[in-house]
Amino acid sequence: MAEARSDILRATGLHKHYRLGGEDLHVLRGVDLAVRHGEWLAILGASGSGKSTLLHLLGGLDRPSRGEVQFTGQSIFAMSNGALDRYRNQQVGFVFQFYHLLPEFSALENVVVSAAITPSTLSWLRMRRQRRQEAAELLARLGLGERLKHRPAKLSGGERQRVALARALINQPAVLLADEPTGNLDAQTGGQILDLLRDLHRQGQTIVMVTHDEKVAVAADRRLHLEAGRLV
Amino acid sequence: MYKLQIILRYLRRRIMPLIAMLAVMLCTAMVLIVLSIMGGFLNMMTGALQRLEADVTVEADITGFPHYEALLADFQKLPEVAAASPVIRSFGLVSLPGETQRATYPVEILGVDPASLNQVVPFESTLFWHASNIRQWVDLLQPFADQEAPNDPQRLRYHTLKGWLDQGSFRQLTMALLGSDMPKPAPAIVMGIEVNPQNIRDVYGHYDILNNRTIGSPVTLTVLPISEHGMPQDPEAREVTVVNDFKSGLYEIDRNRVFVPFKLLQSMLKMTAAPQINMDTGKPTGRTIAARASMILVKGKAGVPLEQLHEAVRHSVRRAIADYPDLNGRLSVSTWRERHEKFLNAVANERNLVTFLFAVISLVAFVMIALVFYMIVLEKTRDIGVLRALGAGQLGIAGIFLGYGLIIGILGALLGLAVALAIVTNINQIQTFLATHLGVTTFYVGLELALGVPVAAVEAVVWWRLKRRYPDGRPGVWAAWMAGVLAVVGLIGLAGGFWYLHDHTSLATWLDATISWEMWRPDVYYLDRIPSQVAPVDIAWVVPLSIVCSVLGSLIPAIMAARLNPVEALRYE
Repeated sequence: MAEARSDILRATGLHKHYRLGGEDLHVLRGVDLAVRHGEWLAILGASGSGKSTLLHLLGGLDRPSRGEVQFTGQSIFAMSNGALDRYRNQQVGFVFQFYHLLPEFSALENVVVSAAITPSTLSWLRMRRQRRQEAAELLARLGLGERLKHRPAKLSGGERQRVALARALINQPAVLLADEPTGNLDAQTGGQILDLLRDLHRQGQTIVMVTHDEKVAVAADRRLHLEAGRLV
Repeated sequence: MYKLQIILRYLRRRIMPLIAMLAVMLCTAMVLIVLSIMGGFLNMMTGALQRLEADVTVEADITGFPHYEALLADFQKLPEVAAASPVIRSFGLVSLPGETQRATYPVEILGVDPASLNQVVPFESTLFWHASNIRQWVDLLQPFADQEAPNDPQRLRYHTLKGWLDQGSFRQLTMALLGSDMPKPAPAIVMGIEVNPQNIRDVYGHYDILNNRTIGSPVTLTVLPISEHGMPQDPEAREVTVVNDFKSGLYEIDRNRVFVPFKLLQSMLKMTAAPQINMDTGKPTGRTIAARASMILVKGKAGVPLEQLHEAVRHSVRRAIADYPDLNGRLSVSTWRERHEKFLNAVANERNLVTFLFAVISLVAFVMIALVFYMIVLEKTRDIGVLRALGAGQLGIAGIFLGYGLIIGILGALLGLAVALAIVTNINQIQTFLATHLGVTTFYVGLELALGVPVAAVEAVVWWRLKRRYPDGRPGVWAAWMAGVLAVVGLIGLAGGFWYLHDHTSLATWLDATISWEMWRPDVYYLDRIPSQVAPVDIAWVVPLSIVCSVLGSLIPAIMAARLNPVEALRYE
């Protein structure tokens, strides 16, 4: 009972089909998963195993063909569109393998945009300076204090991923969803990102990370394998 | 709030919005230019027509009609009528003195009372020459002022023109001369500007008074009187003095029409009151034939509908026929619309055609804008996925692209308006430039390219070597140096070109004659200039319409963007 209450994310019977060129891809075949509050969970799987799809479903970015995802006991796909948008903005933070920063925005602005999405125009005008300040401090904590005004094209891969991490964290999400966060980085830079995740985890951040790399996955508390559309 | 931030950033950092803005700008400018110039031509034609035509005209055949004074007095009493003027219309010949022999042209002759005519149509404003024009001739003829021979034509002309100049406003003087029965040295005539072949329209569409050796000189007017029964009588010739030319703007009128005093033409055509003579006996019968005119021009009071005026005049004519049975069957009453139905219908047709062309152009513009926005959405697909992942809603994404369309629309439309105003208000200067200076300009541009391109190529190589040898150098200083070198070479080229052409003026003339583009010949066309005004009404609907079109053009791409599957958008490369 105590364990159930501390489950922050719970997926039950998740199925996902894709139609690809007339072929029906059954990517997820009944995934059950519980993410506990404060834990660091790694999901391992070969490429094409559907681990990114699972992460997208947990983050409310995609809808399952069958099954449901509950966030603190509430089914996220039963929510209104607006509420689901707010869930993505406020409760989860995505980090992608290819960073996915907005190329026209500086490092600081990439982080601030995420903070500006949910508030109304008026309340944003009131909180703007404070939120910018927070974003700058967050970036400084991730070692980018000197790079605030740089655009993504002027940053190295590791720096970009740290900006992406700051963007994911700015709204203090309940869960950080990381999709191969080190997949595009060399071993040393990837190690730095893992160190940052470790620090965050130590401060109590819940993390779900998918990867194909056993060496990366060892950093996590718990490892699950996604094989043939099921978790084992 | 993030939407505005994103819109502004996209605007500043990408080439696509510039292209979209360019598209909106060009479309807006194109539509405004086409509308201004095509519509302007039609307005010029109808405007010229209205300068010539009274609201309602009462007319008889060429033999004229009697009792016109009574009709005129009756018209002037009508509450719908502002003014009325009698006119005699006939055909005849004008003989101009030439270098070796006289040149004679057939013309339509209107005998007018200028004072009342000017209340019916803006006659005075169509008079062409001003005192400053006349002064040029007076200065030129000065040496002949004290010529011995009293009948020397140059001396006579000098004194005539000098006498006119001393009387102040030249247009008013023309009106006075045309109004008086027997001015000195001879009765006055005002000719259409194109009647006299000495009036040459140059490539700028201007006339030069110094070509016109007829102003202030006598010409001969010949008419053929027609008896009341339609029989031609002996031709009547009279020497008249050219006091001015008029320009209505309609070539056909300006080519064929002259004005003389009403009383003069009436007496020449034997349309004055006269004792009746028995054709068989040759003796007076004791009765009088009434004086005749050929038409009465009527202008309605402001605000009186044309049809109401028409009806009132018709009613008055019926009353006159009851009083004077000899008017029966001779008079027709018509409005200016009826008299020019064919022309006005042609104008209306033309307008419909322009509207159709405009619809096609607008459609092209619209599709162009929609395409550019579609390209922007494609280019930004991954950003859309990112924003969705960060929690942006579908409405938010659509809002970004609609707002983008709105801002691009507003900026593009305003720029387009500026371009259209700049082009349309200067269209006559542009046409003059293209027709007269394109050759020499091409020479200069070619010269500059021939000098500048090799220099720029050498500089590019130097730049490349410098950058390789001094990676931490100061590119700003190098760039300043190179720009300076290029500018000096350019100035040398320009100066050389000027110097060369100055010594080879025949080359310049040949260039301008060979390389030129005449989009319009002011010296030969029906109208002497291209209309050069943008109607505020057109601005008032074209500019908002462009903005609406850009928003609509961005609507479909915006909906598309909103409906993108975020997961696929993220994978999009």
